[in-house]
Amino acid sequence: MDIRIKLLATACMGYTLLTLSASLLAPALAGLIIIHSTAGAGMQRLMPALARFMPFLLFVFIARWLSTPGRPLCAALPPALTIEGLQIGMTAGLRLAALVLMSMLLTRTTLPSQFSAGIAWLGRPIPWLPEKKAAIMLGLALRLLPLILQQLKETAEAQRARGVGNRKNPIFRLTCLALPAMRQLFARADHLADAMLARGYTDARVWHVPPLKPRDFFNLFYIGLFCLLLCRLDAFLLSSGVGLS
Amino acid sequence: MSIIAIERLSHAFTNGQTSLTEIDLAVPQGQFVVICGANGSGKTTLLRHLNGLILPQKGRVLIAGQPVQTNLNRARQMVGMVFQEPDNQIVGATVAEDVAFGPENLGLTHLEIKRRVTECLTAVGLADFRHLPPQTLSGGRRRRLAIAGVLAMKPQIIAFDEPFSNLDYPGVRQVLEQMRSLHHSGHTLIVATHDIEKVIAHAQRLIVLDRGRIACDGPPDTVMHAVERHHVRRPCAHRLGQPVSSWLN
Repeated sequence: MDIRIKLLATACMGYTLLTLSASLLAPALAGLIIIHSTAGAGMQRLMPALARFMPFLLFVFIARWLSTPGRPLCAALPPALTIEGLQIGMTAGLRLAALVLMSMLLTRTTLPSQFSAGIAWLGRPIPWLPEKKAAIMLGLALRLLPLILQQLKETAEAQRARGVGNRKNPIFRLTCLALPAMRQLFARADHLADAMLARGYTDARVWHVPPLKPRDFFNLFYIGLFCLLLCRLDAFLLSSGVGLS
Repeated sequence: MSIIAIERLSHAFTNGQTSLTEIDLAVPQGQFVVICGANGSGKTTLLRHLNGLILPQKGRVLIAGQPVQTNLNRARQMVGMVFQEPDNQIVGATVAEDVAFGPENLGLTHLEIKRRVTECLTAVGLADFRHLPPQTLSGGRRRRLAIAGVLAMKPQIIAFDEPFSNLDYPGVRQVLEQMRSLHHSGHTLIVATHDIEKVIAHAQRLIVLDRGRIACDGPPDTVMHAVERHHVRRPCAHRLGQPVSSWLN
C-alpha cells in the first residue's frame, strides 16, 4: 500500500479506535492480532513487544479505575473500586493496546525511508512545518534508535565492569551512565551530520514518492467506509443496550 | 592539470591549536596517494578540506581547477569520503536505501537512482545483501557499503580516513581489493592512515604529515626510510630489508 494512504488510513483507524466502546474494542483487538499474524508476526513475536507497554497500560487501567466514581464493586473492597471505574479502566486499557498494536503494524510493514517520504509529502501543505527536515529527522531517529540503545548497553556494561554497581547512590550511578553515553551520542551525531554533508545532503533533498494510483484512492475509501460502519455499529449497539459504554 | 591542488593551506582549531600549516600539494588524476602521520598530525583535517567539510581559513583548495567553496555541491559530488567509522556514515535502513542516499541528494530521477544502486552494490559485491539492514553486515562489508554509498555519487576522487581501523584480516583484504579495483578504474585515491603496512604496496605516492606540515613526499620506496622519524612504523618487510608485498598476495 502507498505510504501516504497507509498513514492516512492509520490516522482514520486510530481515530475510530479512540471513539469505539468496549463492546467493539475486544473484537478490534483480535482483528489486529490476526492482521499481525498474516504480516508474519504471530503471538510469539507479538507478546514480548507488547509486554514492554504492559506497565503503562496497567497504570492507565488502574488510574482510571480508581479515579472514576460510581457504584462500589463489592462491599468487602474499598469504595474507590467501582463498577463504572472497572469498565472505563478496561476500555481505556483496551483502546491503548489497540493503538499500540496498530502502530506496531505500521512500523513492521513500513521502511523508515517510506515513512520519511510520506511525512515529507503529507507535511507539504502545512505552512509552519519544515517537512523535509521533519522527514529526515524521523528517518534518522528510526535508523539510529537501535544504535543508541546499543551504545547505552555498552556504556552500562563498561560501568558495571568498573564496579559502579557497588555504589549505593542511584543518582551517582545514573550520572555515570548518562554522561559518557551522552558525550558519545553527541559525538556520533556530529559525525553523522558530517557524513551526510559529505554525501551532498541539503534541505533541497528530493523524496521520491510514486504517483498515486486509482487503486490507492479505492483502498482509502474502503478503509474510511469500514471505520464509518464500525462507528455506526457501535452507536447502534449502545443505543439498543447491547454494548458496553 | 592536477585534479587536487592545495595552495598554502593553513588551519587552526577554535582553541587556537594549529592543525595544518602552509600545505602545498598537487595530486594528478588517477594517482594512489597515501597520507600517513601520527595521531593529531592533521591527516583527517586535510581530508575534510577536500570536500568542503572544513573550508580553508588560509590558502586555497582546488578540485579540478575550481576552489571548493565556490560550489560545495560540486566538490562533494567529485570527492567521495569514506569515514573511519562506517556506522557513523550509514544512514539508510537497508543496504540499498543507504546507497541511494547520495543520488537522492543529487536530485536524480528514480530510475537513475535504482540503476546506480544496483551498479554500485554489484561493484562492491553486496548485491545479494541489498534488502538487509546495514547493522547485520560484517565490519568489512559495512566498510564496502560505505564505499558503495560514495561510489553512487560518481566521484572522481575517493578519500579514505583510516580505512582499516577495527577490521580483521579478511575485512582488510576486502577493502584493499576494492581500493585496487577503484584505482584500476581510474579513480584518484587518497588514503589517510597511521598504519601504512597494509596499503603501501599499492600506493604510488607517500606523503608524511608531522604536526600539520608535510614532512616528506615522494614515491613510497624513497620516502619509506624516513617515516619512523615522524612516528609512523615502517612495514615489517621493509625493516627486514625485503621488498614490501601486497596483503592481497
